[in-house]
Order: sequence, then structure tokens, then C-alpha cells
Amino acid sequence: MRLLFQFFSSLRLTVTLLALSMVLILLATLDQGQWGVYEVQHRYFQTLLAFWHYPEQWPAADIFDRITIPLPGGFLLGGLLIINLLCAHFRHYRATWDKAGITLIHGGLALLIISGFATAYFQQEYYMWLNVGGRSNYIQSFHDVDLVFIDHTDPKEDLVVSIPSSRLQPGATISNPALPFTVRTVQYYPNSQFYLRSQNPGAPGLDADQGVAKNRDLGLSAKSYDYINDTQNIPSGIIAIDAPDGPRGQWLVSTLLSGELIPPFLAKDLPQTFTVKGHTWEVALRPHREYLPYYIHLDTFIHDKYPGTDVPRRFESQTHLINSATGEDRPVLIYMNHPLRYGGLTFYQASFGPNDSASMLQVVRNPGWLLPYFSVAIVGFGLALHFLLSLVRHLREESSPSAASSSP
Amino acid sequence: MKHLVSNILILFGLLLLVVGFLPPRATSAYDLAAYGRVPVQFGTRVLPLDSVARNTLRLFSSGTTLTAPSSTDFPDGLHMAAIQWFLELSLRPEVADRFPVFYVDHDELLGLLGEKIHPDPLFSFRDLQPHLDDIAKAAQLADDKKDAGAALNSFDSAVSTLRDNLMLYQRLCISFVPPGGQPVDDWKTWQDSLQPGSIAFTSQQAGRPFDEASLNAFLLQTKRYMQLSTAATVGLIPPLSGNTDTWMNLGEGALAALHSDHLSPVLLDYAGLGAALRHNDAAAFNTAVAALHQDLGPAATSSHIRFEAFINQVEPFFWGSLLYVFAFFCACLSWVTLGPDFRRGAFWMIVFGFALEAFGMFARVYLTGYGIVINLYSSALFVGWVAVLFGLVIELWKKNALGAAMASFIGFTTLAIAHHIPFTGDDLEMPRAVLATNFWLWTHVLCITSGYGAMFAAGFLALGYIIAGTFTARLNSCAAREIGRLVYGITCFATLFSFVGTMLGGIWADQSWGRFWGWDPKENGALLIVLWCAICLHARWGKLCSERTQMALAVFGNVVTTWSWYGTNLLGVGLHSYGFVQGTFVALTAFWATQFIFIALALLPRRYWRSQAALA
Amino acid sequence: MTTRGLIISLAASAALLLAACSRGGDGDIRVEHTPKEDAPPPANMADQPAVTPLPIPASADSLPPGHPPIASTTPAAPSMSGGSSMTALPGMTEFVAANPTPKWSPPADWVADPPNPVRKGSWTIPPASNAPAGAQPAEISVNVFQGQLGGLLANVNRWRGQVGLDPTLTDATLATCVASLTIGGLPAQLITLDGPDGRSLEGAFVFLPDRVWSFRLTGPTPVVTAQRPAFRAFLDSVQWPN
Repeated sequence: MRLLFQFFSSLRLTVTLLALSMVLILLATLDQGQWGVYEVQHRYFQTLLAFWHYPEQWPAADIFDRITIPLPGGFLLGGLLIINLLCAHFRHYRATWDKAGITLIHGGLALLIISGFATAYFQQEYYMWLNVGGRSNYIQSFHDVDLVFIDHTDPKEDLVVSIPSSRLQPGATISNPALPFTVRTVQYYPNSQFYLRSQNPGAPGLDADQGVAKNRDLGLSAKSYDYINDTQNIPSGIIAIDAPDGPRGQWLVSTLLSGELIPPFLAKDLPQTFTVKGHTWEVALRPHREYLPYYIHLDTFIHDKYPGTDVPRRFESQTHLINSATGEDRPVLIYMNHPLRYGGLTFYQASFGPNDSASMLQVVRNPGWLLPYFSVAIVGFGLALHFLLSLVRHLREESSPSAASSSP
Repeated sequence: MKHLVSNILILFGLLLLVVGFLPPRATSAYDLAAYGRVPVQFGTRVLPLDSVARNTLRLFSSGTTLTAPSSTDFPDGLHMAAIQWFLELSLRPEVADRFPVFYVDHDELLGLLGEKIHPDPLFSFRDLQPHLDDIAKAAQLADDKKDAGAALNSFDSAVSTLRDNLMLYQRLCISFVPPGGQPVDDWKTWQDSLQPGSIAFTSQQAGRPFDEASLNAFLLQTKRYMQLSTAATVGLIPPLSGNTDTWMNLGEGALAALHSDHLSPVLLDYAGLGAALRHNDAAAFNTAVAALHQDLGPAATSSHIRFEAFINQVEPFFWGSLLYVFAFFCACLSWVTLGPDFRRGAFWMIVFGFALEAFGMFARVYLTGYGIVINLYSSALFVGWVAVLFGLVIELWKKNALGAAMASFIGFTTLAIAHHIPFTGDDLEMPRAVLATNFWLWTHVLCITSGYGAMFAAGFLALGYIIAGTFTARLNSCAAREIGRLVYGITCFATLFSFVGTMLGGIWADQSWGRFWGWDPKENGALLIVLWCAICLHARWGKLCSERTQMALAVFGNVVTTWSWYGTNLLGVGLHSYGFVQGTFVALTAFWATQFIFIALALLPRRYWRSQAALA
Repeated sequence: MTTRGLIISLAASAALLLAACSRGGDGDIRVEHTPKEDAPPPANMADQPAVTPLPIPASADSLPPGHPPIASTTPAAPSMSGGSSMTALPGMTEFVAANPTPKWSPPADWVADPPNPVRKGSWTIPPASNAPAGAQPAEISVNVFQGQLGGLLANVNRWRGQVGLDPTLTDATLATCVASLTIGGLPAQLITLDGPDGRSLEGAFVFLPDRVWSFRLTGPTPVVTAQRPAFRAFLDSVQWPN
């Protein structure tokens, strides 16, 4: 036990962990060139163990591509660093006033690492597109995709059943009490492309015959997942719907068929609907949504440029927040460095549509967002305190004839 | 006389300090200085023509004066100030077409022009005119590649840049006076046609009989000026009311006369300047320039404009870097000569250089209205300035030319780096939307760049330790410990600045993008610096390695800092993505190679060090 | 104190690690009642939400450490008036063909030449029946050129050379043979030249931002002198197409 404690509190361990962190960060940064920031975060930082492979794009890749370096991942290093920090602190420092600064610094750093874990666990990022003059009450995920079934029968509201795409394994059957039918996945591609069979003779057709798939000229093939432009992937799938009174056929679903991407020649077969037990259900594949209990309405989007140039000077979304439950209906300005914080979410001005006709807000949920602020404040205060105390001690020693100590 | 040599050196330094401030000799009968002080709106801001001239010449030719060897067109060679060349470009473009201003040194691009590589690859517009179509086609291919997301090779970038420069050139040619060489007459024709034309127009619209000839003439000219209003690229006429801050170009000014029934006197003044130039009438030119200043109103008398023209002339960074170069030689000489002369000379030269650099940086703050560091160029200036400050303090304290050598070396290299950063058209350009926030510019940005400066200061002092220890016998244990303590102290500062700066950056990112830390390359680079500082400090505190190894660690700090500052730009990834610059990659790798050599020297067994006896 | 502290720290860290690692189980099907959706937006957004956190493409570095991407500096260059001379048509013929011919009224005694791909207008005045043998015809041509052709001075000097005069005018002396006029409402320059060896020229240039129209009458001096009024009338009759 004592040996273990000595190990975990040693300075050598600190330096080793810091050095390993640097190696991890460097290799992860280099890998962002081929996997993009989001994927690298999962592979290197939000994991216990990471593996670095010699990138294909580097010279002599065919010789070196078998090089694989295993590394402790972000979670493992972060965890060990916290343990090391706390152990070392308790071992080397007594709770005396002149070490108060150091205690605060170490405490703040530990809190910072903890906030990293908290972010990894809690943080979720979404986006919200608003057309000028339009409104929205939902936020969409950048990466997750849902297969949705919507029952529009009720005149007052819709019934939406969302199945995450992780459930869409080929051959798997899905059933749910809310659905009077079962769903079987025939095929699912995380990224795909469409083609016209008339222009690609010999290419296979769709394994589907309903809705959009009635167009026999349409074909679908898988495409390798694009990690760098990871928001431009088009997931698609073929699903079979079986109701108790008979099958409803096989349907093509794709994010290409929802929202703004619809090719005009397919629009006539959309939305894709079928009827079971007198209810008409719509089926679609779309980005994962979270519905909010309020609306944001975009009044205007301002995109100021420096006169005579295309260089942006400022972006601003002038919106109204409309919450019928609380009766709120107030104007809100969202612009650079000035987000809207409401209902546990923070809305940031992120992007805009062509001709300034639409504004995109990035929406973040992170209940721990204040942790880094606290930790920075604590460390800052600790640094100032430590500097002050060291200065006082140094001045006292200068005035006395004894030799100065060399500790920090 | 005591200290004669050092006094001479100090006087020489003083001379270099003030020479930039002396008013220049007038080399021409034309009042070029007055023309240079004329304000226009170009790019992101209002600036004097002298700056437009220098920036454009620099964009085209990579230099701020036009120098060319003797040629058939110019048997005596060429040596013109930027404003002189710009005078011709703006008012007599057909003359300017003969001046060799386009710098082309890419061998494939030269091949497209039918030329081989030669030492002075400057081409005039006239030289390039027969090849405009080929350039346009090749540049279009490069554009298509970029739209498709493919990577561009060096030929693509070179030809795109040349095409962009040529388009800018042509637009500037028609931005000050209407094309054709008879601007005064052109404006008169326009003014004369305004009234009959608008009468004819209203009559036609009302279905009444109208004068067809007047109407046609009027419509045609309107079309001509509408075309000019989209092609012209410089705002000449300041806004009359406070509702807008957009200046009107000459096409817009011409069209504005439709409503106000009179043509802006600014346009007539420019035409008068053009006519005077064509008639070689310097007196008329000077009168017209004075009239132009008057007609521009408060915009022309703004202190910002006059100050910017003044700073252009002073060139503080040029004289500052000269001072640093001389100081470095003096510092090195002081180690082989007797007496404190060269060291004192070096110290004062650095002080003068430091003052000039500070003057230049704060002049930028005054002119832009934003923080000291707002772009990569200003970051290079500030990093150097911080390192020089550390060096000066050390020199004052230790008086052994070490601080002076470090300060002058870093000072000169950062100014040279700043000068060679790819030029984007205006060093004083306004910061973009999210950057235009003074609070973060003054806090986060300054902290991070101060951290860089401190890291370099420590790293170069350590380099001094290694060089002295390996190649000379003079590094005794006392000096070694002293340098070691200096390096440690500066590393503490670097840790503080880098850590605080990184944390502030996280807060800024949280305010802007919703996440404190996104693990993107720039953030990772900053974190690497903080981690490396932590390693250096902990290694020393825990006595985990020898002093020589600590110096090696400090030198590695140079590698980490340059990676964070420049290397991360090369990746083109994430929120902080920038353009790939091939030349930077080569320069970085070369620099890293030199640093690794020094690290290897530091880690050699002690018996190989010439100072090993002194260190024992 | 030490042992207790250690146990607390280890416990806390373990909890965090486990929590962070265990996140990811999100395979739940959700059933929700949502308000009716608004009518689909007009097809404004051509692409899938381009989720660059800031909408501006990368630019060459000009940023301090840690900042969002920025737009390109060179002002976006819309094509220059009527088609940039950079990206305009490759050949002379195509360029000429792309410029519509103006309307005009040439005098009756001008003989129209067959259509010429590089000229907009071409006439000949054959030698009079009573002219000396070997007399040259006079020619009228109308041309349009890309760019500025080197400017007025260079062209006047070029024409001077063609009629045997010294091509050494300067800007200061240009006014001796150049006068201003309007052609079809656009400002133009009229050039009158009489050479020492029996050749003369009367011509005009119209300089537009990216092209130049030239009208030229050349021939033996007596013919040109006699034709000058008719030539002026011809110029006055020019009407530019819109």
C-alpha cells in the first residue's frame, strides 16, 4: 500500500504522464488531418487506450503502414494525472498558510481535469437552422441520425417515434408499443450516393418498391464515410415494414429525402406514407432532433461587411423567443461573442445560408459549463497568492543574511 | 578619452534611430507627399494613397520600391518610390503598363509566359498582356480544383495569385479617372448631358415627345458609368452624411450626379491631376492636389491619415532591425575584445531598436483602434519585442552581453519573419468579425504571444549555454549556474503567460462557440507549450536531470513553440484552419533540425565539451 | 490524513472514469408528441447545413494564435464591366463577333467591302476616274479591340507613323492633332493627320473600360481632305446598340 502510494505520488510519474500526454496530443493532432476533429476526439481523448497508425497520406505509406503505436488514451491519462496530483499534494504539502497558493493551484488544476471528464460525459452539441421570417422549436444533432415514423392523424399534434440509426443493423427487426407494425432493416449505409440507372448501365436497382423507390431509375450505393467533412455524409437505408394485416413493402429512406436536399424529380413521391389501422404514417430518415418547449423566431439576419469588400465585420441574428408555457415573447439578439443562454441550452451565432436568407445557431448543452470558469479563477487566484507569498518570503530572506532557498 | 568606441557606437545607433524621422528630400517637382496623403477607402479601411501604393506594389512585386536594372525601355534602370509608380498607375495607366512590377519566379509559370528563370523576374503589364488568356485559363482550372475540394499545387497557387494581381491592377487603372486619357473632357461631357438627358428620360417615361439623341447619349453614358461603378475598386468620395461609412467610387460618384445635379469636385480634381500629369505641368499638379485635399473635407485632415503617411515614411521596423543586427555583432565582438565598449554599444543599440519597435507597434494600435496583436504579422512583432525586453532586463542585471546577444538575435529574426509572412494586401487590415473584440485581443492574445516570447528568450539563452559549453572553454560552473537560473526564471514567466493565455482562450472559445476546449490543432499546440513548461519546471524542482539536460529541455521548448505558432497552421483542420504554406513547412523543418543538433550537443558526454574542465 | 485523502481521491477519480466511459448507450427509441410542424421552408438553403462553425473559408494566415478562420482579403472581383479582359474570349475573331455592330449611315459613295471577321465595318473609296494612274483607294475601317490598346498617345503615334509623320508626340503635344467629340453619345477623340508624302488620316477612338472602338479613314491626302466632312457625318450617325 505504501509502495503504491509512493508510486502514485512521485514526481517522475508526473513528468512521465505529462510527456505521454504531449505525445498523445501531437499524434492526435497529426491524425486530425485524416479523421477530422470530431472523430479524433473519440479515438484519442475520450478513450482509455488509443492507437496511432501511420497515415496513408504520408510518404512511403506502403512500407510503414504497419506501424501502430498504442498509447494511453485521454481518459486514462486524465485519471492518472488526477490521482497523481492529489497523492503528490497530500504527500509533499502540509496544510500551512505559505503553501496555500500551491494548494489552490493544484486544486484548480484537478478541477480543470474533472471539468474535462464532465464535458466528455455531459456535453451535447446541436444546431438550429432558421430561415429569415421563420421559426423553429427543435435542435438537430450534427452526427446522429434517426429513423422516424410520424402519425399526423391528430389535428392538434403529431406523434413522432424516433429510432436511432444505431438500431438499424441489417436483418434486425424493431418493434415498439407505439408502432402498430414492425420495422426490419434490409440495408443501412452511413454514407451513400444515389445514381440514375439509365446513366449507369448494369448497376443494380433498389431493393425497395414503395414511395420514392417506385422510380425504377434510381440506384443507391454505399460510399466511404467522410471523416473530414463529417457533416456532409448522407446516410441511407432500405427498411421493410410489416403490419399485422400484411406487409407494407420495402422503403428507401435517406437524409437526402428530408429537409432541404430533396432532388426535384423525387419530390412528387414525398413525404413517404403508408396506412395501418386507419392511421397514416410518414417514414423518414433525418438528423436526430430534440424538441424544445419554446420557439425561436428569426426576424432578421444582419451580415455586415467592411465597405467595398467581402470581409465580414459582424453577424447578428435578431430573434424572438416565444414560450407559450411561460408566456414569454421577447426579442433576443444573438451575435458574435454574445450567445443566448436559456433553458439549460446556449445558442451561438455559427453560420448563415446563401444570400443571408437563413441563420444557423450552434446549440450546446453542458451543465458543467461553469466548471472551467471556476477552475481558472481558482488557479488564477492561487498563482497570484503563491507569487505574493514567494515575493514576501524572498524579500524577508534578502534582508536577513542567511542563504536563499532554492525551492519554488 | 574613456569609452570613445562605445560613444561612437551609441551615436551611430542614435543616428539609425532618428534617420527615419527626418523629412525626405523632395526628388520631384510634383508634390508626391501631398498626393500620398490623399485618403481613399480601399480594402477594409480608409487609408492614405501612400499606403495603397506601398501595399499594392508589395503585393505585386514583393517590394515597396520599384527597382529594375537597365533595360530597353529604361536604359538607366528604374528606382522609384511606390507613390511615384502609383501616380502613373492611377492617372496615366498606359505609362504604368511599361513598369515591371509583377514578380514571377515560379518556373512553370515562367514557362507559360515563355520565359526562363532569371535573377530579376519582374514583368510589366505590357509584357504579360499577350498571355492574359493563358493565365486566365490556368487560374480557372485552379479555381475549379479548389471548388471541388482538391489540393492545389504550387503552380495553381502561383497562377491564381498572378491572375488576382492582374485583375486588381486593371481595376485600379480605371478607379481614379475614366479610361481614355481625356478625363477632364469626359467629365464635362457627362455633366453637359445630365440635364438634357434627364429631361428626355422623364419625357419618354411620361409618354411625351422627347429628344432621342439626348436620351441615347445619356443612357449610353449611364451604362458606361454603371459598368465603372462595379469595376472600380477604390472609394474616392467620402460620405456626405453620417448615415453611412461607405465611400463612393468614381462610377458611383458619376451616377450620384444624376440626383444632385452636380458632379463631386473630388472627381474633377482627380481628372485635373491626370491632365496636369499628361501635360508635364508640375505647378498645375500641385495646385490640383491642394484643391483635392480641400474638397475631401475633414477626411483629408484626419490625424490618422497624416500619421499613417508619416509612419510609412519612418519605417520603424526596418531601422529597428538594422539596429538589432549591428547590436548582435557588437555583442559578439564584446566577447573577444577588452573593455566594456562593444557591450555598452550593443546595449544602447538594442534600447533604440526596442524603442523604435515599440513606437511602430503602438502606432499600429492607434491606427487600427484594436489591440497590439491582431494578426500573424503583429504576433511576430510582439513575440520579438517581449523577448527583447527579457534580454534587456538580463543585460542590465548581469552585464555580460548574453542578454544583449539573445535580445538582438531574436529581435532581428522576428522582424525578418514578420516581413516575410505571406503578404495579404494590408498589414493594418481590420480584424474579422469575431476577432474585432478588444477585450480578448488585449488579454488572451497578448498572454499567449508573451508566452511565446518568453519561451524563445529562455530557449535562446539555453542555446548560448550550449554553444559556450561545447565550443569554448569559458563556461565555468558559476556562469553555468547563473544561466541555468535565468533560464528557469524565464521559463516560470513563460509558464504563467502560456497557462493564463490558454485558459483565457478557452473562455473566449466558450463565449463564441459554446465549448471551452475543442481539441483542435491550435488549442492542442497551446496545451503542448503549457505541458512542456510544466515538465521543465517539475524536472528542475525534483532534480530529475542535470543542468545541461535542463538546457536541452529549454531548447526543445523552441521546437514546441514554433510548432504551436506556425506548425499548426499547416494542417488545415478544424476551427482554426488556415492556408497551407509550403515555404513555411521547409523553413520550420530546417529550424527544428538546427535545434535538434543543439539538443544533441547538450546531451553529449561531458568529456566532449570544451568547457568540461571549467564546469567540473 | 494522507491515507484518507488518497482513498477519497481514488474513489472520486474511479467514479468519474467509469461514468465517462459508460456514456454512449443511446439506443433508446423515443416516443413524443410534438406540435404540428410549420410548412417546409422555401428552398433557400441549397446545401445541407454547412456546419462550419463560422461560415468563412480559410485564408492565408493573418491570425493570432487560437482564432477562427477568416475570409480571403482580395476584394471579391466581379467581372469587369462587360466581361473582364482577363477572362474574355480567346481570339480576336470571337471578340469582334461578340460586339454587336452599331447602327450608322455611311455616305453613298463608300463601297462596302465583303464581310471581314476582324473588322466591324469596312469600306473603300475607289480612285476617281480622273485620278492619276497608280492612285491608291481610300479606306474606311471600324474596329473594336480588347483592352486599352496602349492608350491614346501610343495609337496616335502609331497612326502618325502610318502616314509618314514622326511618331514622337508626347502628352503635352498631343492636343495639336486631337480634338474631343462624342460618337453616339460616348466621349471620343478625333485625330486629324496630314503626312508629308501625300497620305492623310482622319480617325476617332472611343475608349471604354475594357475595349476600344476605332474609326479610321486613310488614303491619299486630297481624297481624305474631301471626305472629311462626310466622315464626320458618318461618325455623327453612329448609334450604339444597347
